[in-house]
Amino acid sequence: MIQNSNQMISARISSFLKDLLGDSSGIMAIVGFAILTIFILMAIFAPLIAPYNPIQPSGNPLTPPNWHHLMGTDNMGYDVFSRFIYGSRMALIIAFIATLIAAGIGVPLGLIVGYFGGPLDRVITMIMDSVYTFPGLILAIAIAAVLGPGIINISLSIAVVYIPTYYRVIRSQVASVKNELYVESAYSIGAKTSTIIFKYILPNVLPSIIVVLSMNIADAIMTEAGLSFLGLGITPPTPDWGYDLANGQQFIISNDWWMAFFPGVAIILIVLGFSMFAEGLNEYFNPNIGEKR
Amino acid sequence: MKMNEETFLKVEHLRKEFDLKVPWIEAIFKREKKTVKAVDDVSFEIKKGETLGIVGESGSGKTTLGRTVIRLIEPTSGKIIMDNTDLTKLKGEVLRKARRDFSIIFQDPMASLNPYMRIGKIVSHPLEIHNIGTKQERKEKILNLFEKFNLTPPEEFYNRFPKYLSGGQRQRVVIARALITNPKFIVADEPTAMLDVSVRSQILKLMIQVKEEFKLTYLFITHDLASAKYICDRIGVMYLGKIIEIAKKEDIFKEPLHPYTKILMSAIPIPDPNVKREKLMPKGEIPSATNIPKGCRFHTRCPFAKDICREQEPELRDIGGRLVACHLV
Repeated sequence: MIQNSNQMISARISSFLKDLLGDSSGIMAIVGFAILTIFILMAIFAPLIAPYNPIQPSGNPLTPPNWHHLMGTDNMGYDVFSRFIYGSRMALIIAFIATLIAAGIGVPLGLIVGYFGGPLDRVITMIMDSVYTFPGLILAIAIAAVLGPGIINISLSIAVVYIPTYYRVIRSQVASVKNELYVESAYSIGAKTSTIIFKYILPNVLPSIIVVLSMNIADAIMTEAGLSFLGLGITPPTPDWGYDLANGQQFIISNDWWMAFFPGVAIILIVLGFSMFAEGLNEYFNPNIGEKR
Repeated sequence: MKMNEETFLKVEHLRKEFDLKVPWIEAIFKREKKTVKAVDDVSFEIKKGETLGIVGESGSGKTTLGRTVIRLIEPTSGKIIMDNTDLTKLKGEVLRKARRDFSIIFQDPMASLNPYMRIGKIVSHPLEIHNIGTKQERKEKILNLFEKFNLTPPEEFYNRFPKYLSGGQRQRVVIARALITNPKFIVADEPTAMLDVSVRSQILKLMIQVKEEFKLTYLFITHDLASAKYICDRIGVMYLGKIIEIAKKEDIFKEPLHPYTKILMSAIPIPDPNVKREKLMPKGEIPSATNIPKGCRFHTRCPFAKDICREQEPELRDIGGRLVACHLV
């Protein structure tokens, strides 16, 4: 029997890989995944990769890229390459925490409201919609300005922006899944409401949660960079791409392009990586999306 | 309310009305609520071990009736007395626990199994919910049942996901799930309608076999008269939310009394090109359940309608041991 279930698992993995590699969406997911792996490894092993301490001057200020400083140094004499490496930590940590908070609130809320419906649904949907109508960055700026800097505070202000996204997706999915016959069957065998929600409805909306999750991380990274760019994020001199970008843009005019260029590239790459990964996952779970008419 | 000793289920004046959603402007100006009378004052009895068939067109309310009887849908009014308890009085936890005594087999076996649950778990879930047996006992019971249901090898089916099963296999799983708690009563809501003809008789045979074994009572809902003839003891004919004739299977097939039943029976194809018979056809479509015709609800389509049919609604009357609701019989 054990052998049997092993066979099933391996068969499933191989069919999953075949599905992934078989068409273009799979390639997209894999390229996205590769980019993400590089950044995540970079964040984990930052102290091993970075040649200098990112918050200590390591050379003359405003040195152009050379063999000692691959990406040059900034106006304080910090090594841009080391800050590039360490910057991935802030971006990923904040994006993950923010997304987890947003999903942790949005998903249960969507499940409960979608299942029970009624007046509760009207009220909460109205609140969520009003949050949703705010431009994301502006709302995050407002909350960040109130809460002040710090990893948790920034994560919270980003999370608030994305709660409605989860709520809306999950609520509408639940509203359609709850009318499926297998949910009625669960009710007919005497299942408790909590059992119905967690064993019969949640697994069926899980794929869309995963897709929204990976898309949101990309967005959250952008918002975090935006907040830091505007000076509302992490307190300097902690390495952060958004802050470095804002700092570097003053020097573009004097032709010291590397200070703004590399953090900018980092933000683009990591967001691209998450988006491609998310899009690939999305096409895997919803095969109709990528179809040509 | 006297209960015959043999009577297992007694349904009295059961009604189910659904409120129609109207645009809010209309709701303000018209004030009257529009309702769909899906089940309109239905009464019947089922004896222990009997199979009562409910037949009727689409939209006659037979599915709603089946679901209301086991409280999947809240009845608007009426009584459902099963084994001396009134199901309409049960609430919350009591009702939830009572559900081990009755279950339902749905029409669509593709949709009635959770795609993210293994077959074994699907079937054992009712046992887990009602705390019956230990883990090992449950599994043994299920494997035995699979063996009996020809879901072999049972171990393999136990660990499969529903998407790897054919329609007939799935319907057998659905039946297994409905039976696993040893219920006394099962509503079968067109259990063979979505299946291939070849699989249909298999499922019907299985249902008859388990009925003997588990001492079940069935409410068998169908629009397929051939299946009804095969499995039912008595048949009730439903039209626009009401039972218009209810009689023993033999009687209803040999000599239908209500004009509507006659029409239904004349629609059964006879596999002999030389047999000539009078063709009865109803006029038009089944009327909307929001706007049920006055008088006899069938008069708009009845080929024999008289004046009295347009004025007075006929009651179910006892005519030689069978019940018919028609002025003309």
